[in-house]
Amino acid sequence: MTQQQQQEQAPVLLLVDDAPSIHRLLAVKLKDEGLEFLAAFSGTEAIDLAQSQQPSLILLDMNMPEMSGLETLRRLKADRKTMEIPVIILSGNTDSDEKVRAFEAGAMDYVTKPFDVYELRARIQSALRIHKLMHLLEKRAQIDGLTGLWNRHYFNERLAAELNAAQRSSAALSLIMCDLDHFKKLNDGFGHPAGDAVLQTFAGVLQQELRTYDIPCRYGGEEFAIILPGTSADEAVTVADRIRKALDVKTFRKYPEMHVTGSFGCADQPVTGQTDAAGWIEAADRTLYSAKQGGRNRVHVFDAASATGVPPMALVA
Amino acid sequence: MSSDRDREKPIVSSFRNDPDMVPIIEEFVVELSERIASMRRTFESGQVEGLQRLAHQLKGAGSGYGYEPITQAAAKLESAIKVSTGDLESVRGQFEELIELCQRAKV
Repeated sequence: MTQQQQQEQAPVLLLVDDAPSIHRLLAVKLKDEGLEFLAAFSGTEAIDLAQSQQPSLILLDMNMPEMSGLETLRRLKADRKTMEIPVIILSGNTDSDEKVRAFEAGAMDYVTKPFDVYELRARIQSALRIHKLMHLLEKRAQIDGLTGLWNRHYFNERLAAELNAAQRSSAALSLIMCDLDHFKKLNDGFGHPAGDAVLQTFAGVLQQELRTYDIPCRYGGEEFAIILPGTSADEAVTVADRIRKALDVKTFRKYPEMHVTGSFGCADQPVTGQTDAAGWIEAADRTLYSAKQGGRNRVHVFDAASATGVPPMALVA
Repeated sequence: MSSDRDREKPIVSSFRNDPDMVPIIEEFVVELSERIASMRRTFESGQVEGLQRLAHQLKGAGSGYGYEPITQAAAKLESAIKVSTGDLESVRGQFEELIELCQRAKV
């Protein structure tokens, strides 16, 4: 084992089951797997722990009172903070309907109770391995597979580099955070393929409306981030509103009734007064949030006086 | 058919020789008596869903603790309840069989 591997932290496994006897059993059966354990006895508790502790893997019981395993899984997968955590379903049912529903909701694997402990160990290790490799691959890759835009990893690196360059030359530098409106409803109403088509279409709109030196990235889910070097807040607002209008009039050949809009938050880094990337992103995110609160399908710009997003003067006039 | 003598024979956990398992098996057996009581209450008051849930839990835990017969009997009770259309009297046989096995469980 190399030095680096030895220093790696033990993967944390979050076990979710309403029965304490299952918790005790798994703690014994998995004690040599090199894992750390977290225990949740309900779906609500599981979501809280997953958000705050960011476990490497979740073992989730299907059959729980109050919030079911399936509902818990759906909520975990709908939340940006927990969507990437792999989930193995533990279930006493063997019918394939339930399995299909679990996989559709984003489960990585499925183990039936009573479980064979050797099989469970193997599946846990395999899930951890796949997750680690995917993470590695994502880190190495720079392109988002679905939309062809830059991915989040590239965004983080590029943002830091652009921030550095702009601070050295005191240049303007803007960030647009953008979120598709009611995306979950579109997904539920028209199906996941429609959702994917929306993301791809929006990526096309971005490619078309942006200037060659702008950097459009898929930030996660239905959220996008665009870095605009040498661009002031006013110019960023103009660009964002051009994108907003282009999306607003888009039609979808396969889904003629579908209408998609987006909300946009623009933040010029020097205006935000934030000197690090995290603070700046947070300011842009807050601005996006105010655009959502303001009724969606609109562009807001960061206002230093109120430290939040406001409708831009340029568009009001 | 099991004879009366079989019925008094304790069922032991197949993991009783695993020192890591013994403490939690002991705990499981203690809890079994509570489970028997709550299954009886649930059965007598006709709570179909509650009983199905208890059977489901025992099915999942039984063999993990080394009591394969409990898992089998609990699975039988669970599927009998599923097809019973809500009349627990029709599953009394499966119910009593599971209770009897649970009462015989020793470490």
